Amino acid sequence: MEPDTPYSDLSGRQEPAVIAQQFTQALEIIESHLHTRAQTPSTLPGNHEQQKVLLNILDTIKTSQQHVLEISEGKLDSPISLKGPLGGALKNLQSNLQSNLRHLTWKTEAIAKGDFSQKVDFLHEFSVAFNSMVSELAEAKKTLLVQSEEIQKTNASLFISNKQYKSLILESPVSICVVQDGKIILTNPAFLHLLHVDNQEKIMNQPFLQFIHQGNKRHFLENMSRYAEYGGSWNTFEEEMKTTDGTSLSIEIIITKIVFESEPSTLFLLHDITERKKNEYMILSSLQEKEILLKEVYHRVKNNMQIIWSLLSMQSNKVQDETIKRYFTECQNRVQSLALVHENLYQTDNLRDINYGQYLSQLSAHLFETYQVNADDVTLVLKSENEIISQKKAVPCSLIVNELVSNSLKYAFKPGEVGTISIEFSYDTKLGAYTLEYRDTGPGIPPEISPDTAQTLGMQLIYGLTRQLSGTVFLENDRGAHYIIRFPQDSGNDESCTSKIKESL
Amino acid sequence: MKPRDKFIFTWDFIGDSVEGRPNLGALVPIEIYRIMHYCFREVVEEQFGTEQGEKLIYEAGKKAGFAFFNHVLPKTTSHQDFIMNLQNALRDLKIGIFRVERGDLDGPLIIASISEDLDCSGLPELGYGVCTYDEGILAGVFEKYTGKKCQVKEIDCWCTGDRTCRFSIEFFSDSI
Repeated sequence: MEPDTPYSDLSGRQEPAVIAQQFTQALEIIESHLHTRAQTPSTLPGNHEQQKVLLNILDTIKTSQQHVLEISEGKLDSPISLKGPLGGALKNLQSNLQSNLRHLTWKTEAIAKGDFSQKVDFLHEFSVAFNSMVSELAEAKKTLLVQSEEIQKTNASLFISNKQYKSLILESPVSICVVQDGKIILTNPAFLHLLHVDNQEKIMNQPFLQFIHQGNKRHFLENMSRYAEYGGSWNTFEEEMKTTDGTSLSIEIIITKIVFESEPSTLFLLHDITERKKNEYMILSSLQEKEILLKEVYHRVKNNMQIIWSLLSMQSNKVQDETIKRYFTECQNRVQSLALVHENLYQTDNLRDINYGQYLSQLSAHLFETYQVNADDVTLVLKSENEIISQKKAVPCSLIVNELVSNSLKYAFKPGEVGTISIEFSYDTKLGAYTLEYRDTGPGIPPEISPDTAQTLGMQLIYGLTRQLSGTVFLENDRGAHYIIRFPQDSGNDESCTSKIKESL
Repeated sequence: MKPRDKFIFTWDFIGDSVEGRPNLGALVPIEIYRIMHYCFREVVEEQFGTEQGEKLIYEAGKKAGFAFFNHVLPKTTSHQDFIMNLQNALRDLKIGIFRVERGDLDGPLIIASISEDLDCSGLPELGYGVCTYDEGILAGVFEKYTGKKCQVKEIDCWCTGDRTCRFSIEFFSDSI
């Protein structure tokens, strides 16, 4: 801006008062430029030279303000035209800021690349915050690295674990499949092989029910709903299934609830039991056949014994001698006692064990009838809590009972005399042995008869058959004959049991 | 006094200032350095011309850079540590405030600034840069560390009105 002529010194001289006024005006203009963004007035005080100086001062103020504004706005490349200390200070400011910012940028880039050793030692408070941030970043990176290592380790471990589980499922000979909402979502090769599936994709997301045999679908659904209703860790049932080509299979299904891919699912383990079921059926058929045969054998034995009994009876009728006749009768009774055992045997469920209480009742009734004993005279007291005895033990035991009852009926009671026969048959679980306690109210064994050396067939049979049963006989006269015969249940345990039995008597 | 064939700078020429200057110490005012530097420079340029003189000053700086690297800077193979060591050494020895502004030691170019530079800070604005000796020192130091040839050029100088000296340090694939 060129100085205006009104301020030109025309006279060349000025009064001191005017000079002072002009100086004051100049100061006011400078002050207004320093404190405000005032426009340079069109007229300036003083002469031409003074106006030039004032203009220069105003221009310096404006230029300085402009530079400071640019620096504050971050424009650090603008050339600073001002000379002298003010220009130098502005250049220093601009240059230092530029250098600091560039260096800061470089340091930030280095930090971004992971160099956390970078520190800032300028910009005062900012440097403290910046360095603190870098330290925290370094710490954070360390923590992240540690966490990353842990994650990597966990991932590696998970990978191995996944691999092992995958291998476990893929190589399992058991057919495995996972079902979600009734649809198959995972299978293993064994499952595909079992159901003759050539392509896994064909059955994915298909209902599991399609592999259940038509007639068994209701049974399958009942089992599934029962499991769903009552829960439990797993459930096992057998089902008829069919392969993709229609082959029927007997399958043992084990189901358990699992969570697969975050969804509630059912794990199916299938075991082909088709062969086992066939074998079971064959064994069952064979067993039934053998049972029928065994029944038939018992029946025939019983019938044959009846024939023997009848033959002896017919033969007995031809004999006049009462002693011989009695022998026949005794023999017939022994045959009958055995026939009764076989009759009971073929009527039992397992063709092995008979209800001995029932048997003793039948045998006693037969003997009472044979010896024509009036039930009003001789009372039979029978106690047996439905004890079960095997056929092997029943035969000798029955012959013993036959002898005991026959002896009592023959010798203990005179005709018309009142008496009692007590038979108690029981099983002692502690001893593992049967006890036959027999008693009559007759005169007892005559003193001249030594039971174990007696030559009578009856006594020989009682002692001989007891030995055969690995048992012991206790005999005393206690208001009549009193026998306690004890023998073990299990033949394999006979010896140890016999010694216990001996101790017990 | 015996005549010498050739002057060769070794670290021995730094001498033992503690023994040699027990009263005055190791430090001298910056004026003395600049008197020596610029008078020496004037003579060199008078004798060999501006271009050749600059070259001689640059080479002398480079020798100083080698010695500086070998005797002052701690040994390291870490780029970060090297830059930090250089920054600290230049500041501690009051040569200047060294700051890398751009690039890194794995790249072909680094831009670095030196504020309050020993050679030029406070000089009048001359319109041209005067820090040729600094160029040589930086070249010597960076060549020694990287093992690669490098060319250092001052791009801003106090004397050009920039207040902060700025250098481009360019690396070449040739080994030194």
